[in-house]
Amino acid sequence: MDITQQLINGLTQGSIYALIALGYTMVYGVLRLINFAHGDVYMLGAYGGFFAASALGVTSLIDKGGSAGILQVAAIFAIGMLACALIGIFIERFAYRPLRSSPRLTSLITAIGVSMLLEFGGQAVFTPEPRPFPALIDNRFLQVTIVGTALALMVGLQLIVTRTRVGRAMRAVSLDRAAASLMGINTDVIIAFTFALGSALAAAAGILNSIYTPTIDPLLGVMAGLKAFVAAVLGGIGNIPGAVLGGLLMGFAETAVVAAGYSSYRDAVAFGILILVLLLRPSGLLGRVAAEKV
Amino acid sequence: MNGARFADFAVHSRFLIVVSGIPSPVSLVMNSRSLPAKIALSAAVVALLLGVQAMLGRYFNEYVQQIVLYAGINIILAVSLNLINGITGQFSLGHAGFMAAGAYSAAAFTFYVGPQITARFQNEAAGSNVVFIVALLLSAAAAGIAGLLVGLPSLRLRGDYLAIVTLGFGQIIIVLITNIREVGGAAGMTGLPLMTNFVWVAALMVLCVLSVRNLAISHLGRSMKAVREDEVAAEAVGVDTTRAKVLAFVISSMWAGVAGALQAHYIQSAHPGSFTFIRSIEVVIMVVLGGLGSITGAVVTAVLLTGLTEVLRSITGAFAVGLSLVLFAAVLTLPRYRSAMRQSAMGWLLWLRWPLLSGVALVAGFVFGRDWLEARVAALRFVIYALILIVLMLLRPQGLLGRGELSWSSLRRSRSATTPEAEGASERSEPVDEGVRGTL
Repeated sequence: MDITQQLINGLTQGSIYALIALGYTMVYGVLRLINFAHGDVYMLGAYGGFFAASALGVTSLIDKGGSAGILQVAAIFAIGMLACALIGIFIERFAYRPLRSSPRLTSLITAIGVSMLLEFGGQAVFTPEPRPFPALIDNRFLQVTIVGTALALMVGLQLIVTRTRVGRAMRAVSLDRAAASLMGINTDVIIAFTFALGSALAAAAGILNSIYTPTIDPLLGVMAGLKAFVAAVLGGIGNIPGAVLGGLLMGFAETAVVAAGYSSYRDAVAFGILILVLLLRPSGLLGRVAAEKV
Repeated sequence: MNGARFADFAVHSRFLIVVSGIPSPVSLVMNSRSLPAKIALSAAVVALLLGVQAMLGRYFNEYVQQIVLYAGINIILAVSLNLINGITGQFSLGHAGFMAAGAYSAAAFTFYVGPQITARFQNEAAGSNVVFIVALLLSAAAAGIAGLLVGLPSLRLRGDYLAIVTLGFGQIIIVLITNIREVGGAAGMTGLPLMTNFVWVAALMVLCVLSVRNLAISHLGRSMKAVREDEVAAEAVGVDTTRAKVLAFVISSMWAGVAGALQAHYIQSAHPGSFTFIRSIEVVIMVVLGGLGSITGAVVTAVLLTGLTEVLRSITGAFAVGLSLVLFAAVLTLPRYRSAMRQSAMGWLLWLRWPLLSGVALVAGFVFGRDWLEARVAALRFVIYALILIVLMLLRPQGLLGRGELSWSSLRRSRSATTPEAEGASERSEPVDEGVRGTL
């Protein structure tokens, strides 16, 4: 394969990582919490898409063409994203909100527990066997569609965060939760909204990735989630453009390693990058360096 | 203060008071100063272990022996992880990686070099024991070096970041091992000699617990605890925090390596799949459940969780564990509703709404969905682990024992005297549940 194709592969993989990374970075921004369960929400998104597709009777390539096919695919995305947004709100309400004033380690362990619950709950409900995902998009423009959809979602997110009242409230909460609350912002609602937004993006990424792969299993979120987290740290956690940049870089790095013939080291790349970033520039590429207050 | 009250309850229950008249065997060994006495005691311990092993082999089937051995290995893992996560206050999620480093280095030694050494001995048993001793030392060394490599970034990272990095290191170790063809790659290594037996596991377990216990009360251990309490303040008063953190990682991973070697030479194989992230989490659950910083807590929960693994193989067991978890949660939430319960009967309902709901759901699931659940019992085990972790963090984040130790002297202590350390721990980590407060 020539280098252009490899670059396109990297871009495709990278935009999927970027979409997941956005959820990590937003939640970290408002709560200072690494939401370990985010990768598993991505998995649930893939299953949501799968079940939506079978409910709508979409089992294979859309050969009908025209608007009906596009509408069906749009509906599948909408259902998956909505379901995951609700799951995200639910997780925040019952697992994280009661611990908001506890030590960060307590929340972290809870997050690990929630992640395990979703993974093995997923194994119990969906069975561990991989399932083939319906080919919703024609292979000829699959990669273009993935990158395009991801880009559209990122632009949409950017608009929400920078142009709307709720986005301004999100930024305020991320800057200083107590002060935001004193200014009349309902922080609970904003935090729930942030979880919903991040989870919906993860669901979209899950469906896109499943069309690309094209199989799904209940543990697919583990590695993807960890890699996307690394992407968020690489870009500077808490920073939205940073998450996109980090995701794309992760995608390119991984594709490069696979293309060079070291595909068995693929999963080590992410952690190698993570360790280097944390040692050399812990605040990430676009993150601000914050002095530690004693 | 429900934390301290619960510890009181655990410590002063009637059964334990009956036991508390007997002097601690550990203190007998520890308090005897003279060398001959120590040697005599150690010999007695080994003789005792050999006796127990003979008894195990004679009166119990292999299944029971296996559980006992796994419990011992899990104790080594939990107590050693407690050194990093509990006593030094760092957070490692890579214990399985260190296990793998130890297991594979020992396995490679016994597999490739072992037979040549054994051949030089007249007595085959003696030869294999010598090989195993070297293999164990090697596993400790290899895992210790890995621990040093992970301990170094811990100098710059805190809390959740360190957790992720240790997780990453664990993963990298597995990826590296998978890429070494000599140790079987992704297929793993099979055909290792059976070397681990009850005596090895028990002796090393005792050694591990004693070494960590002695370390915790030593000068270095106090430095580690100072790092846990407040790293900046510790640094300011002259504690060598670098040394404390790195040594915690090195010593802890050495023991993890030994546990890995023991496991590999018991199941006679080493496979990358048995050292995944999930294995690390299992050990983390043991430590967190017992109480971060409590050595006896780690021992108790390591045994408990080993037993739980067996119980959770059947659907009835899973049901029983689920119900106990609901009861446990109900008991823990009781103090929050005490004032409401005094005011009206609605208080009782408030207290029992979640336990009742989940209990009914459990029973319904068990009655109507039995076959469905039966087919999924393997995944169910980890679902229950996850629920234990979440319930624990929501209701009793300091674990069963907090930082207190279940010791022979603590059993004799009067009801009013709780250790200031345990008191402080339960006070600090008392969860503030805004949701519950709002409903009252």
